[in-house]
Amino acid sequence: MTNFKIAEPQTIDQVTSLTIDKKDKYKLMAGGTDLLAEIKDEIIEPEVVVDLKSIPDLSYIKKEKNGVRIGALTSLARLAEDTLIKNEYPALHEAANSVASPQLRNMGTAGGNLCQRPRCWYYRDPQVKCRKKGGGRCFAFRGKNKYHAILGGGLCYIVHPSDLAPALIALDAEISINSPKGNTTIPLTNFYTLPKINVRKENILAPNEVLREIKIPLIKKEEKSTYSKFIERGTWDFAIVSAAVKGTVSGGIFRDITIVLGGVAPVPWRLTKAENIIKGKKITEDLVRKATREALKEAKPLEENGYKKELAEIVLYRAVLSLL
Amino acid sequence: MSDAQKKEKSFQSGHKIIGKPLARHDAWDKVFGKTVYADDYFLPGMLYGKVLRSEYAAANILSIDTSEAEKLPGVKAVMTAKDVPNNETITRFGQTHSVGGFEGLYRILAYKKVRFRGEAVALVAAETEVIAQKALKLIKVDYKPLLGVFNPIEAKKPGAYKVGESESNVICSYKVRKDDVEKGFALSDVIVENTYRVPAQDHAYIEPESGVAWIDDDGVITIRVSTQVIEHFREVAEVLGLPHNRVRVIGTMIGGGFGGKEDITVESYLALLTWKTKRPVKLTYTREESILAHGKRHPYFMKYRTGATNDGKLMALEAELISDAGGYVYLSPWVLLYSTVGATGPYDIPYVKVDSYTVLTNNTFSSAMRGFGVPQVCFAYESQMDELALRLNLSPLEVRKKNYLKKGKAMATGRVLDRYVAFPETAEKALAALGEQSKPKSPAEKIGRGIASGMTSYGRMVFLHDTSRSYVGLDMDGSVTVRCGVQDLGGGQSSSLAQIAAEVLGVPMKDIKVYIADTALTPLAGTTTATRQLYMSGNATLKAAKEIKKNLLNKAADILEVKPESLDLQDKKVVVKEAPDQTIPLTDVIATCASDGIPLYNVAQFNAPFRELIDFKTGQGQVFPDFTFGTHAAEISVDVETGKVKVLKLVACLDVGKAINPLSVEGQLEGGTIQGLGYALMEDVVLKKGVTLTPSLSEYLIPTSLDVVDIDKVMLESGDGLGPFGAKGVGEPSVTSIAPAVVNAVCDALGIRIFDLPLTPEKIVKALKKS
Ligand SMILES: Cc1cc2nc3c(=O)[nH]c(=O)nc-3n(C[C@H](O)[C@H](O)[C@H](O)COP(=O)(O)OP(=O)(O)OC[C@H]3O[C@@H](n4cnc5c(N)ncnc54)[C@H](O)[C@@H]3O)c2cc1C
Ligand code: SF4
Repeated sequence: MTNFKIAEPQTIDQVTSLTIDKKDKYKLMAGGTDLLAEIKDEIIEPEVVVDLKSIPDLSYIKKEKNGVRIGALTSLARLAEDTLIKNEYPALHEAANSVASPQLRNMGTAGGNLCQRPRCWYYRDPQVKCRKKGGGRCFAFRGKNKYHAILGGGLCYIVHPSDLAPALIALDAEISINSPKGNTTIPLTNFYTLPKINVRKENILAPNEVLREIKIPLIKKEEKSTYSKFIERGTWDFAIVSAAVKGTVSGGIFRDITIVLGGVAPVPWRLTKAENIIKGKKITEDLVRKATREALKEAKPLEENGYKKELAEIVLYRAVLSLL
Repeated sequence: MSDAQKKEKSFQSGHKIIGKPLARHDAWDKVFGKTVYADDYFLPGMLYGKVLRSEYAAANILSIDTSEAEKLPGVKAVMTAKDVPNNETITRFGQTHSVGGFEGLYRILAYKKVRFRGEAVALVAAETEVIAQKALKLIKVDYKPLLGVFNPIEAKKPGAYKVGESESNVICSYKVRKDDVEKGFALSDVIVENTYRVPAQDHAYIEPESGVAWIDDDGVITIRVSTQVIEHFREVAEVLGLPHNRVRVIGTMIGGGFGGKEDITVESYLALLTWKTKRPVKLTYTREESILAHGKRHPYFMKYRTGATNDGKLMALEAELISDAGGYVYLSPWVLLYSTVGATGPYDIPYVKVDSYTVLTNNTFSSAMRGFGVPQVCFAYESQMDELALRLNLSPLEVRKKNYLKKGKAMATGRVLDRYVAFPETAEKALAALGEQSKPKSPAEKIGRGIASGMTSYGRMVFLHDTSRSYVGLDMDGSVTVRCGVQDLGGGQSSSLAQIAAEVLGVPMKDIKVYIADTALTPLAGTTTATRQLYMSGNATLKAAKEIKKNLLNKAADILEVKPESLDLQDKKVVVKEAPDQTIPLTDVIATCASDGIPLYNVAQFNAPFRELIDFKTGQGQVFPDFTFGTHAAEISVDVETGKVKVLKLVACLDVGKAINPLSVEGQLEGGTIQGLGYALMEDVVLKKGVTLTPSLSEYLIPTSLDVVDIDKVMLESGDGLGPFGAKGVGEPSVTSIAPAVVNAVCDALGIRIFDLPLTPEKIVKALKKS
């Protein structure tokens, strides 16, 4: 690990102007649970770490008339414990609660969770210079790839590790970004990008842009949601496959439904095809399985990760059935 | 039971301290974080050491250029193989008694060729850790990558890539021959045959390797280090070309060892850097470095064939074992010998043939880990037993009961078991403890149960002529000092010695002070490995304490004008057994002894049974002093759609001989069971062409509190062990049979068998699909 300086900005504007000409020498830090590990493992070597925690008032959960606003620096623990979230957005509650361990949830933030870097074991190895780190090849492609992407791969086969992302996308969340080019608000789903857009990055954020806030629309009548995550041990593990489902349901029929899978692709993966098949029909296990299978037809598993396709069917139908 | 044992037994009655569930004397310090571990030491003027490790698993080193690193301000030393006085040493297993054969080349720093990724290539000492780290990057190593070989079966073939220099990749092989195995198969009605595979397992201790070293006022290189073997001081001295007594090793409290700190870790590097710079040096591995740089539990390929008659009597067992030693020899030959002798398990089988090989590859080296080659074969033979049971239409317990070894019976190696063999007792009790079978909670859930039995040695191999020493001394106020060179792994090694001294000398625990693990000041007690410390050093301490007791009682008998046999020591008093109100304060007897010149201290040596080497052509002979017998039972549920296993009940039932401190024994049974559960269900050091893909605890999964249940510990106390008060060893036996018990339970639930560990959800689903 190399030494670095800590910058403690007092406002977001200071951040956007601070980093404007230094680009990669700066890294933003929220809880630091991912960033510091990357520095320790010498995957990145910033000269200055910009501590977003020094900016006041970026940690909040507020219900207003057109939605719930969550500050980017809100800790995962707070998100998991909040009763409003728990009662009205169970998918988000369950997702936050499923992240890592209590210690990591205390330190880690909502914004950091959405912006965290991939867990591909080749990426995390400081001695491997794969495509994502500017090298010439993807080592997972013909290497060990049981945890890698079955969808949206090509060039790089990471799966996006965030649990919050699929849940928030299913809940139609938007995010606000502060940028030197001006502040914007975009749907979270547009935030994430596939490797073919830029293999070095997982989202559209430039180094001098700050994710400031997450917004979720107010829930509709009879809206239900859930987040279901499959991992290899009892707790404290990244999703092999996860499913976030939101919909309005009555009499065993979804009038509308949104399905987003985690753990299967470099970005949270929306299953529009499956949604269309399920919508308006009486829910059975068969229907959900068929819908998933149909939606995952385009999957291109690597040598070791084909099991994820079937696992996705099971995780998803169990999630859907749990909402009836 | 021999007369001596009977006497021992009667002596046991009315123990005041032995057998009591006492909180260890160091427990509170640990709870409050006061215990000082190796990395907590800071010395004035201390430098920080770092190790440059090979990026390649197989490569020639063409050149190393350290000039840039040396120029970096703050760097005080950069060392490569050429700077090490004796860079190549031969590892010997016996610290005091060397046995021939299987001596392995061991390099301090890589020379000309690297054999595994992570092999140490150069050392740096600098004023700060950051400078040392920077210096590593400035060392230019010119490698020429080589092909390498990563699978022991490939490496064993003639013409395979040579991992070392001229030597064969096959380090050694063993045989066991008992009659003609084909005859046994001809007599069998049912034969099962399969190949089993186990992965590398990491010790995953909470404390990575760490130590500090300095040169003392008297010129002695002193190393304070987290180790299971302080007696590596001799090898370190030889690396530096110094007399043995010019290197002193002081062991710290250890944050877990499990065999991973049995080999030298940081000691030689520390000694070299402090010798070169004349300044104190500290070196602590990162987690990633720890996982790359210490030996693993050996991966094995095990081909097994077992035959039985229709009524379930085992007739024949044939096994071929191939273990992956990785890049250097380390303890592979010894681990393999344990597997070979243990290959037939606790069963009486008339016709046996075992062939075993340990083979160099370019993977991370393998070495000691709790169980030392026995959990691997236990997984294989206990899988075979369940496969036989199924074919014979017998229950797993029935088929085992027909075949368990008993006292007086011989193992396949001809060794006659001369002490109590806790079968079928442990199996029956373990199974019974599972109670009523749980009901599935959903249609996708299947419930299964399994048992597995094991026998695991305690004490080192008898041809190593193992010994231990301990000093016990009384002070004028009746307080007691024990000095014994044991390393305390956190298993309560020093606490048990205190208990033994307190019991014999009739003083409370608080009056005992134990000094451990200092090669200069404590009598050498050998390694804390092989489940030997309570057995060996416990006996040495018992012997020393009894000697002092004899002196005290003789003197008191003079004073009271009675026979010494009629007296005992209790509550810091000499008491007349038949008339307990007739007492003399202990301090009075001590004062008299002191003025009469009667020794109030004793240094005792305990010798394990000594035997000669076995016959390597047939494997016949005695290898171990004694065994601990036990059975694990498990009840699990499997989600047949996702393949996820959930543990519902776990039982560990072992004959522990005598529980000196039942709390410590329970701790071992729980820890061992959980470590074995990880081996069964999730632990897997994933390597691709020698590259470790699981170098940290976010990739290398070990069980969390949510993966275990309350473990039912059933302790049997036969009193028939070789240790003090009839104790046996439990540290390693606690891990042996849990993995096959869990696997048998999963197979019971699914009705199909899986042949390689760990049983990940993915593997289970794939197996279900195939069936
Ligand atoms: C052992 C382990 C297990 C884990 N398990 C899980 C799991 O099961 N599920 C899961 O979802 N995650 C898991 N994680 C990841 C963890 O959730 C993230 O590390 C955490 O959420 C990141 O939050 P942080 O505030 O600490 O981010 P930081 O580490 O501070 O930052 C992470 C990244 O995001 C950037 N960043 C942070 N905040 C902002 C912002 N507001 N604007 C722009 N960029 C920003 C940083 O520059 C950095 O690149 C695990 C991590 C570990 C170490
Ligand atoms: S999947 Fe992506 S991060 Fe992993 S090796 Fe391939 S390019 Fe690198």
